[in-house]
Amino acid sequence: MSNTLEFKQITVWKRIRSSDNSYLFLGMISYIIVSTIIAPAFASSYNIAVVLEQMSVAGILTVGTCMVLISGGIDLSIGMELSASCALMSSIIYAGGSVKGNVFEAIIAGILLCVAGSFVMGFIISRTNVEPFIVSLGFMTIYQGIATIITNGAEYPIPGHMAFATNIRFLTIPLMVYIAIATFVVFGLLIRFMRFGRWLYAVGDNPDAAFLAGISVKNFKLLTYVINGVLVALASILMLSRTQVGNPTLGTGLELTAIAAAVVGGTALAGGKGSIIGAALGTAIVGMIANSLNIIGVNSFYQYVVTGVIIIAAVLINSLRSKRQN
Amino acid sequence: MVLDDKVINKKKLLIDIKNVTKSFSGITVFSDFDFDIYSGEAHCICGENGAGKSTFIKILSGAYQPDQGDITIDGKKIDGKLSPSLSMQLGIQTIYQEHTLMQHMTVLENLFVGREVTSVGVINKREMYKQSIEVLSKIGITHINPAEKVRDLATAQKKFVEIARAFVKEAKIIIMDEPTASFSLNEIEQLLKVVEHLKNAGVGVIYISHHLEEIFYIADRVTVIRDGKKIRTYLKEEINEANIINDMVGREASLFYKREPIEIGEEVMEVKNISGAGVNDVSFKVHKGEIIGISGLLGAGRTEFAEILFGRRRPTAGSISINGKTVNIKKPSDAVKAGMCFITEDRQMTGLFLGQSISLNIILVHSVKYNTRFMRPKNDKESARVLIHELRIRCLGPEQQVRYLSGGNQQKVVLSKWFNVDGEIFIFDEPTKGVDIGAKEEIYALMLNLCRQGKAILMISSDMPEIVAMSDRVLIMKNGAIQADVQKENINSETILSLALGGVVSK
Repeated sequence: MSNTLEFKQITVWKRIRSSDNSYLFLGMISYIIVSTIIAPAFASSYNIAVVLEQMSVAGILTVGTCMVLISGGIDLSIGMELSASCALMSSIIYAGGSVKGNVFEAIIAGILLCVAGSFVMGFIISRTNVEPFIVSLGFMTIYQGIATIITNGAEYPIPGHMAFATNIRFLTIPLMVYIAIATFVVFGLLIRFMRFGRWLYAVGDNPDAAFLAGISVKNFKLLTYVINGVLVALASILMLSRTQVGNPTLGTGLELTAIAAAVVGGTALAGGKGSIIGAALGTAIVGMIANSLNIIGVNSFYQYVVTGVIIIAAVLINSLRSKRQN
Repeated sequence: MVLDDKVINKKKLLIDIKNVTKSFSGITVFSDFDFDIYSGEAHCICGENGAGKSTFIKILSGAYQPDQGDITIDGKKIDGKLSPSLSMQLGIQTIYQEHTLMQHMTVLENLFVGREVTSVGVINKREMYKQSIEVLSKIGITHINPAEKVRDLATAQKKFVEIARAFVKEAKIIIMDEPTASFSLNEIEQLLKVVEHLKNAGVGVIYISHHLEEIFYIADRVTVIRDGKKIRTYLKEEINEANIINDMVGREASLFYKREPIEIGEEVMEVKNISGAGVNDVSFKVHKGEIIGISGLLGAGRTEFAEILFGRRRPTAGSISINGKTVNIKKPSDAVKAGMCFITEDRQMTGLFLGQSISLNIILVHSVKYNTRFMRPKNDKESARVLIHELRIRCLGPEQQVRYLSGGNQQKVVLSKWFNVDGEIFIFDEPTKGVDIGAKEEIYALMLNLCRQGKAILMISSDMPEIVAMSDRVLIMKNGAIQADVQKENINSETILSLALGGVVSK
């Protein structure tokens, strides 16, 4: 075997330079530096712990959203699904005012709700031609209804219960942050080292070709929604641990935060493109913006505007870069 | 002589291009190109994929700006930028390979988009209907109802509507890029007639095609390009098949691929009484090392039959056995596990993951067939490298996205995907569609290599030279059934065509 390959060896440097993620990383670092210069409190260990804790729930949801988007789907119901799950778990622990319910039972109930709900939704999406956008929009409203029915419009405070994810700390950082990071790592590895990852991109890129290559596209899509449901369940447990009270508005807007983070991280809504590292960076960037603006003292009304502008700018830069590369 | 001068004077110079050069990031893709076309003339352009034909179209349609050179269109010298809108204003209309019609609107609405006929501000449908019939008949199309929705038309009819639309827009020059891809013989004939009508109406037609027969039929002049350079322009009387092919490939080549005989082994698959969507009671046997050509007109049920074999469609009756064992194929994964490989007709729609790396495209079926749950990126790339090398896929490396490869190299990626699993029966649906002559021969060589290894090949093809040159046996399909089984010694284009048309069987 003389010259098996005449390709140029791609150097690590070149790989870094051509990667979208390194630009995101650079952007994030410069954002941190600028914010720290303007407001040194931004980089205090206390604030870092706060930001990380705030980002954990959204981060886990971003992992699932990223996965669903790569497979060519979309799930708008996750925010309300989280609300419903939190409402259900808190109502079980609240136990009619005694606040003595079984935490373990509550968690199992929350997981069952999310997995069953996502299974039904995934089944409808994968077996019919109805757009996932529409189906998940419907489910979003259904979950909202479920959450309101369970809480009867009020809320269930559960002080002192399920607080493990916030109370247990290593190096001043709460357990839930480690859980979120672990979720990113596990999915990153899953996509890199398992067939699941290859199929994910194939199904998102061209479902017809994937089917003819022998992949059961319907079942695979169903699987992605079920996995997404498991992640929503996990996120809802962490959320309840943080807030210590279940009400129907806990998850409001979280689906959009997750989509924004995934898209800033380079995930394409059309499917077949995206990465977990990108999603992690996207979560970090979207998560930092609000916090840093707060510290700098920007009126919270303006924060929405700034966040929106930064999201659009990030996506724009991404698309211009990929255009130039061709 | 006086008469001749008059004829020449009547013909107006529409486009005159001199010394056009275009380069991308330092690489010259198009250099010192001269080209001209007169009204009422069909000027054909031949060249292999990647020769610069599409760059040429893009320059004329204003999508690319040339670095150097003079372009004169309809007597107007273009100074500065030729933009897409300016190009259209000057009367250049391009019929692309992809359809650009609005699917949910009627033929009539498509024809008159932006120039609707109105009376007192209200759209006058009746007048437009009348005018569209006139326009259609002017270019020789009589079988399309202007009130029909475009999505209900056949592929060829859509193409005719696009040409009519260009005509409505008062095109002086119509560029046709591979207009007859996926046309049946009958439809090709119609298209060539339309081109004649356009010529008579004084339109200059720039016709780009792989199919030399079409070019010989309509061309007034033929320009051959290779590696972005004009090799030669032939006048009508100078046109010579062998010379043009030589100019295209830059070496001696024969139109008919000559294959060596390969010994045919034992039976590997038997198809018994298969029926289903558009397929009617098909039975035959396949042997190792054999290439069975499947010929027939478009709509004869060939692709449908292949899709039933491969589990994309469900059969209503019949059975398939492989190596003596009956196999139950309900979905493509069953077919893959039974040892079948399916190289589909439309590689971009059903064969490739265009936005993904070459390596992902290549390892995918492998992961299905051998149920490998755990995979390593390093191994993926390694198996891709081996196949890239073996099939000589021209690319930057296993991580390059498939969308950036040329047609022939994309087809080789499709083949690699299947070569990566040890299949026994290969179904090729139009294996060399949209592939240039050089890559075509490479694909033929790969197919013969498969036969040598004892694989069996079913080859659906509308390319007559391909069927004649490659097949050991030809099955001719008509209305979903096998019309005839032609043995090696009887294979020739006349027999196949007459059987496919269902006419009197000669011999």
